[in-house]
Amino acid sequence: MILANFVAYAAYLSFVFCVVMTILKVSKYARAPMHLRWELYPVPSEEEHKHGGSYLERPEWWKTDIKEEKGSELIDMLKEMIFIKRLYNSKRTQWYFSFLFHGGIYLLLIWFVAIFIGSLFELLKITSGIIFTVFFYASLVLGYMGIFATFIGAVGLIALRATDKRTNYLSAPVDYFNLSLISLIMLSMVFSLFYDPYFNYARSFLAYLISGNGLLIYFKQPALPVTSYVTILLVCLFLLYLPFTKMTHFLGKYFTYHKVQWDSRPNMVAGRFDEKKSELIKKNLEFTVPWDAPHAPKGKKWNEI
Amino acid sequence: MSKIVDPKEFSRESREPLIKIKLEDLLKLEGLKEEPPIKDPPAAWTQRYDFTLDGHAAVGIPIPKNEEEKRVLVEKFLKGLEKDLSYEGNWTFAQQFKLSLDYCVKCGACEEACPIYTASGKQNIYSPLYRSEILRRVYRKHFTTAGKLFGTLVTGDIDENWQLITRLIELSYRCNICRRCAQVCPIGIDNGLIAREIRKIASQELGIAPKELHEKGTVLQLKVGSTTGMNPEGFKKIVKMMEEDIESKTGLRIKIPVDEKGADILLIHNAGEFLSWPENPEAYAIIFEKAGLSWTLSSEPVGYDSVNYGVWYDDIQLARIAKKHVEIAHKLGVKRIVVGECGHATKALVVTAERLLTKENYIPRESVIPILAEIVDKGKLDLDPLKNDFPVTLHDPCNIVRLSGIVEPQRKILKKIAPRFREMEPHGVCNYCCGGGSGFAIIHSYNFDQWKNKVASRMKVKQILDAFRQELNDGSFKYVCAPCSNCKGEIRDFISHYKLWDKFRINYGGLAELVVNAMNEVKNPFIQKDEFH
Ligand code: SF4
Ligand code: SF4
Repeated sequence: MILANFVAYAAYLSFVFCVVMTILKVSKYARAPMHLRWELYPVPSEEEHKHGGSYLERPEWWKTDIKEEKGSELIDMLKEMIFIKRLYNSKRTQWYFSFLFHGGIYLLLIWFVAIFIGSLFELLKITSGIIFTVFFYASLVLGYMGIFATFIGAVGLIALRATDKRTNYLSAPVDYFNLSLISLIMLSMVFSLFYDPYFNYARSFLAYLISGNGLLIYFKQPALPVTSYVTILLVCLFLLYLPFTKMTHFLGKYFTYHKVQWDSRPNMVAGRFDEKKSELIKKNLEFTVPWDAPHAPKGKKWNEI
Repeated sequence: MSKIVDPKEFSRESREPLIKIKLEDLLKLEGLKEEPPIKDPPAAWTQRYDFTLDGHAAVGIPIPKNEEEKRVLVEKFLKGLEKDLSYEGNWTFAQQFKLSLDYCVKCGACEEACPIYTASGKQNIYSPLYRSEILRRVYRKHFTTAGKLFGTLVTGDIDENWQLITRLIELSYRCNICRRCAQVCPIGIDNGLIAREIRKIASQELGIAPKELHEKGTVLQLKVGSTTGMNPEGFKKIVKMMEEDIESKTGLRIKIPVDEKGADILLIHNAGEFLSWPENPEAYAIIFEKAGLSWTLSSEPVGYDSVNYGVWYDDIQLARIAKKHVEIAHKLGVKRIVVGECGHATKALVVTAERLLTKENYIPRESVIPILAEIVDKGKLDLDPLKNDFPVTLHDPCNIVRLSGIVEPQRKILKKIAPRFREMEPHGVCNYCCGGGSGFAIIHSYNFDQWKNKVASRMKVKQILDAFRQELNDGSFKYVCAPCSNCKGEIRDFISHYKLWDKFRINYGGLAELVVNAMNEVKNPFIQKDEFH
């Protein structure tokens, strides 16, 4: 009982901690002043993107209507998110494992949604019906596939990292640790499968958390197999650690793609000046130059240099 | 596989370089039987300046004389890095910089994309990832909580002594900032940007930069008007000479407009064109006049030189020059600035400077290439493509294609006027840099030319040889069309180095020259097939 409560507290706290820290981390990047343009073509939202071009191919481009094709940006984004297209094109061996690894994680995320819905059914005392059955079996397929794909992918990536003589000397212990931690979690999930092959314990534990009962000490809670406790604690550890690592590159990618490489919108479109941008630029030009080289106008504002 | 230099060795105090460039390691150039040997730098240089990266120097940092100088070098670099990481100190690029430092997963996908790394025979110190990783370790150690708490477990081994700093600054000048690596990185990490940020820290904080970029570059341009040293009087004389030259070459009498107030277009060329390739601005004068455009050149200092070397190494200088270009345009009362055939100038003024301009001082800017394409496309000139009946290939300047997205217009023109045009592979946004990118074309200090020719330009030499493979040895005239002054400078250098003109009659030039060469109105050939310059 006490153990269940301890694990529940750990789950709540690590989840909240992870969310808060991740938001703080994202806001650190989001708070950045609008930087100078540094896009990289092709920019998928631009009409000319198919041949890698831009609106700058049009004479007097500022007089033209520069449309943003959000649809093709989304397609490119999905190709990159789901298939890791750039890696596929540039480093195929790595891609096989990376695809398995990331694909596995995506499956596990969807699995979690299925388990979450399953736990809601449990709370609502729904134990049959077509939707119940669909989610039940979906969670089995997604869970098993996700666990094994992630595990094989992670181990493969560790092996590649260790054996690729062109890059292994650049890896720090932490690079191995990150992948090892995920492999360990997957391994522990594999062991949990022996005791919880249908994820029934997983659903009840989640129901216990969702209902808020996990917060109540001495609330009656069915004991989980030890392997499940170990898995949950490892996941908690992972959640506490995640925001501080480059494993949050899924968030970093939003900025590197959307806010840098694909950020090509000019100040003037169809003859109209973007007033908001002008204000942001004015704000930037108010920054004081802190640099010390002889030619640097230290102490002056950027609009005075 | 070439020798791996571990990051630990990067701080090794020694007068011996970490690697030596050897011909047998370099990318093979099919079709070229021999090339000049590689020479060691003279002792007079290596005793005074730091050549310990690869036996070459672009910056030539003086070796510190005592412990105090060494300490100050490291301290200043760290201070500069701190400023570069702050939004206040580096509002211009800190977001991209931090992202690139924080998220690399060291997958190595970027390595093969880099022409320098590949052409060098995969020397690991030239890998896009390596340079960034050295800086990243210093960054983690000093500026992240994890690095401070867990040390080498997180950072990997690193010892940021003076030797690491001097080598790292020199290494930032072994990257063309072509950003081909950023294009393939699954995370969107920009190793080219990291190289530029290292250059920025060196320039803006330590006052260290290659003299061709700084003293003889941006400083000279802001002082006298041009990095060529040309003053307004010199410029006006050249314009007169160009008018005479046009008449003697083509029989056309063209009055080149200078300081015409209220013209529609202010055309700014890279001033290097006036001195080295006047046929390019001459060609534009002919085309613009024949197309009936309202345009002018400026004789104001800086107004007749579009270059902005700041885009390669220093944001302060970048902003100062861009501001000057815009001020001159406003003074003339033109409606737009058009940048001539110069890649970095286009990127600096048309793209990067966009967010230095507010509503109050905004002026539209564009590249000349789409205008030229429109003139050709709309049939404003009477053209006979058969006048260009020789093999032509197109070099894509990185700043024009990958960094500005101007890809099709130059192809449209060539398809119309050059019947034997063929692409290099790869081309367009996937092109390779000529090797002159990020300032290399104008850096000639010490033995840097040797490094550039052997390593940085090697991939381009291979591409050109491949593009002309069919006719390579048939003695016919061949033309590498490079719509960029810096690229032309670099191509001129490597054609001479590898004797491609003498051996294969491979020549080079701009885009507008080909257009004028095809004009029926121009009786004599505008492109001289028997001379190389
Ligand atoms: S491709 Fe990107 S993530 Fe991979 S090593 Fe290169 S910079 Fe790092
Ligand atoms: S920017 Fe270009 S030259 Fe520099 S590391 Fe990347 S690919 Fe290589």
